[in-house]
Amino acid sequence: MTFNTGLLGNFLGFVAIFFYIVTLLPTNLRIVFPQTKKTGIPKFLLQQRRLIGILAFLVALGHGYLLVMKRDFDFFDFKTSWIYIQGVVTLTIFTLLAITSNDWSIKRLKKNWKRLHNLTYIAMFLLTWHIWGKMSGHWTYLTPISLVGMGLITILYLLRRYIEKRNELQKKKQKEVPALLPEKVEV
Amino acid sequence: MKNLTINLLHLSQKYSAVFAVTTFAVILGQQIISPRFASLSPSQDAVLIAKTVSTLKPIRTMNDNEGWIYAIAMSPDGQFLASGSYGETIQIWHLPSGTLRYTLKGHGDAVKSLAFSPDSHILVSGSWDNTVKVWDVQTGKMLHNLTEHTDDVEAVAISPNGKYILSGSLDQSLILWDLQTGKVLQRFSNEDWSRSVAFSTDSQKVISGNQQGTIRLWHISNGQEINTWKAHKAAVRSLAMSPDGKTLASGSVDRTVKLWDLTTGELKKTLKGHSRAVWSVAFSPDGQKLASGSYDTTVKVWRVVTGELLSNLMAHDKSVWSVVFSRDGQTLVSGSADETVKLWSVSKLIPTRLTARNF
Repeated sequence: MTFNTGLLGNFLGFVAIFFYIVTLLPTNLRIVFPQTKKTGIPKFLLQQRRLIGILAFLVALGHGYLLVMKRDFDFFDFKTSWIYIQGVVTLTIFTLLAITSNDWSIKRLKKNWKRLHNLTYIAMFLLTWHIWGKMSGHWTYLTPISLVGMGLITILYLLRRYIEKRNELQKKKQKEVPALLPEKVEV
Repeated sequence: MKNLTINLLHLSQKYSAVFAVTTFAVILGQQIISPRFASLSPSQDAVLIAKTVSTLKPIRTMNDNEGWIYAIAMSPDGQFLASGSYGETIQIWHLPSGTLRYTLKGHGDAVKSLAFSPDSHILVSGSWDNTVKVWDVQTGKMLHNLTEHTDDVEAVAISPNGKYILSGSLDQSLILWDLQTGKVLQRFSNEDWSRSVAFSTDSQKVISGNQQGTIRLWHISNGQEINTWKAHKAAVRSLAMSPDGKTLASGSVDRTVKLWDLTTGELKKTLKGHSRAVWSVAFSPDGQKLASGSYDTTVKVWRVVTGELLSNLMAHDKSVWSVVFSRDGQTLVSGSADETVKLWSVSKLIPTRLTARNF
């Protein structure tokens, strides 16, 4: 039995994107579509997020490995590193997140852990750029699916950020209104 | 089942850091120890090469600022030189005037391989965008866009009789095309990445060098496999036929160049001297010399009969991806990742007193 590892590389990239999108879903769904809470899906995804994130990293690593073999990628040459910069930075982010995806890291890093894991949202934009840049000119049937997936999760994330900002402003206003009212009204 | 899932989850959480570091180290380690990149230990070979540095300068240097130059080809009439690069373009230079004639655009990814037809009118290019394109050299127009491959096209060749195109791809196939019509004539299943291709001088056989270091031969007429042999310890990245049709040269990631008897598959010589992967090999038109380009940034010229190292050209700053001789044998051309194409005068190649060891 033979395996076309060239296409396997593309497939692994696709699977990594799928897992990555799944890790972003629970928080975004909970805020943008609160009604999904009733289904229990966001809760389930949240419980499994660490495992799914590590799977995304491992599959992305497989994708990177095959592409390095296939394209003679040279880490020591700045020019080629720059051509694949989106992929390299994303894999670096995934590595950092995978390394710190454990209780010990959460305890040690405290507030910085959350800051570090916010890097996942940068990967969202990098990956869209990565797929577009690397696949333009020779799309496979997986390319549009990946791009639509990344597009949808990006829109969902932007909506979430908008809702969070709006809620913050409302909370701020609610706090400010009682402060403006006089403490005692004398008749 | 539930317990197993919980256990797996628990394990992955507990050891995720170790797992992540280990796998990342493996990929980096693979990169560092890979024969493409790893240099030789300070052995006798390294000392030999250090002593055979040639001070010969190129007679001309042309810049192609579109990224790594992967492929070069020289038209048999000596009028044109084509270079294909990472920047998805092909540049065609008019050699007598030294001017850039065309920049051909159309590929959607790096141009990995180029070949001129024997009448110098047609240029064929293979790219990582999975296509083979056929160009009219005089007008710069694309004649055919061949889209049967499903993965990177790594190598293309035109048969000596000017009738066929052969393309090798990472989709594990070789395709034989009609040069005039662009129709598929034959498919050869390779069961491995095809990294290099060549025709026999009688245009009756096709040859492929593969990722696992194997060389395979097929008959064009019936598609039957003639011979297969394990030629190198690592990928065969370049093949060249001697003009008399008897000797096949192969350049490999295992840092060696080997000369084979094409009919028997018997090893004639191993040319050892490059300290890193050999990307390209080319015979001079008289069949007396063989040039090789390597990741070690050098171009080496060997005397075929004795295996003697004639010259070790060191003007490139980065990996030399492609070497080719002009039809009159007077000029050697090299294309490199340093984004230059260098032309060397063959008559000025100085024979060195040291001989490369044969194994």
